[in-house]
Amino acid sequence: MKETISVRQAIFTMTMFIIGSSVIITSGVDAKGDLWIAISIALIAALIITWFYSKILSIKPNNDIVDILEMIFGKFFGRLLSFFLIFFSFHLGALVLRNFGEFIKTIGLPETPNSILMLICILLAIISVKSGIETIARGCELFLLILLFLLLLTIPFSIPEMDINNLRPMLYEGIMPVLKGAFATFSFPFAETIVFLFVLPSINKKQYYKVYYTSLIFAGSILIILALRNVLILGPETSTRNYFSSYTAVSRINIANFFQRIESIVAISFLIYTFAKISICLYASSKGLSKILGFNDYRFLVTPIGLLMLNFAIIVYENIMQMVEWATEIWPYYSLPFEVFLPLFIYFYYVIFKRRKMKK
Amino acid sequence: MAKVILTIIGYILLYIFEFTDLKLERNIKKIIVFSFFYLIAFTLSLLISLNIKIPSPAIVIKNYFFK
Repeated sequence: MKETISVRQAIFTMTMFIIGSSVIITSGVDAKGDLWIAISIALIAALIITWFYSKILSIKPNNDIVDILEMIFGKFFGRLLSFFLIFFSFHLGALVLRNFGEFIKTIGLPETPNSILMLICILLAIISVKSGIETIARGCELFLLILLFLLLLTIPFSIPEMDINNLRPMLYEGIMPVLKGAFATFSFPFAETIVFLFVLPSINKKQYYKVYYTSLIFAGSILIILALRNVLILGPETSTRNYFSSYTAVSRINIANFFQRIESIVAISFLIYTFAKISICLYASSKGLSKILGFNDYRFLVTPIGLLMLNFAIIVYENIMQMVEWATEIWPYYSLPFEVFLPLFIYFYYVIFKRRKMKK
Repeated sequence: MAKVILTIIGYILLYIFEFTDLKLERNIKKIIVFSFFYLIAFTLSLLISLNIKIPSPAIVIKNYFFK
């Protein structure tokens, strides 16, 4: 049975995915006060690279990426390349799971072991993936608007705390830190949408560009607004030095000593975003792996892959400092081959060597 | 010690729970693939619960490529 989701649902899912863990951990910290410029530059770059992603999907619409790669590169190399993509989504899922665990541990449950928090999250993710991508997409459709309302509600309330001088002077340290921040932001939330190569073949129309562009612009503008809010409230130094700057910014809200402590609601919304991201990564990796091994059904692999993801998330870092260092300094370079070089290689190889043969 | 026992019991219960679904399909290949990945996950969890330090791939990547 083939699962189908509508274009609207796909847009909402991808928006959830992009906002995902980037509301918890701020990427592009090098840009400091000019983070919003960095995000805008990254957004433009992401629009270019996602054009290639949707081109790859349009080679053979409604076919899985594993099938497409097998058609282009043959059985062995096609499966090898899809294995890289699957490993990337697996790794991404594990890292996001770890972010989830560290976030709860730091803000709410400092005495609880990290593994228990992550275990609960991954069990939920396993159940949701087992019930199919349709269920995840419907959940995202339901939650996104409520969560966005909650997230944007904090902006008018935080106006008393804001100071426009935090944004000035613009480009004080030159353009280089901004470009560095743009690079980090490009690879952290935006280009991670390569995971959707596994999800998008199940949409009911062939509007891959529309899905990518609408959700990138939508999620990108939300991230720009949030970055502006954080910098305006906390100032450039504090907002970039803080591990969870969005959370800290919201916790400053205090209107007449009555309307305060709303950060717990916001924290719950962060967790739902992250949960959606973990579910999609788990879906992508189990679907791809089952396809590589020659099965049509992916559901039986979800539990072992989810448990492996949990184990990986536990052993991958020793503490939160390592996590933040990896996410901000190493992840951009580590993810570059998967997010940029691999899709470009696939597309140009197809255009140069295979297009004529396959058209015939 | 409680951690180890809980891990073992949890994994066995989850395996039985999953296996009842797989048994109905009578697809031996599926059962083998499932058990293979499940066994890896179980081994890793057991090592973690025994407090054995497993080298992290992230740190290895960092040390070899970014130093």
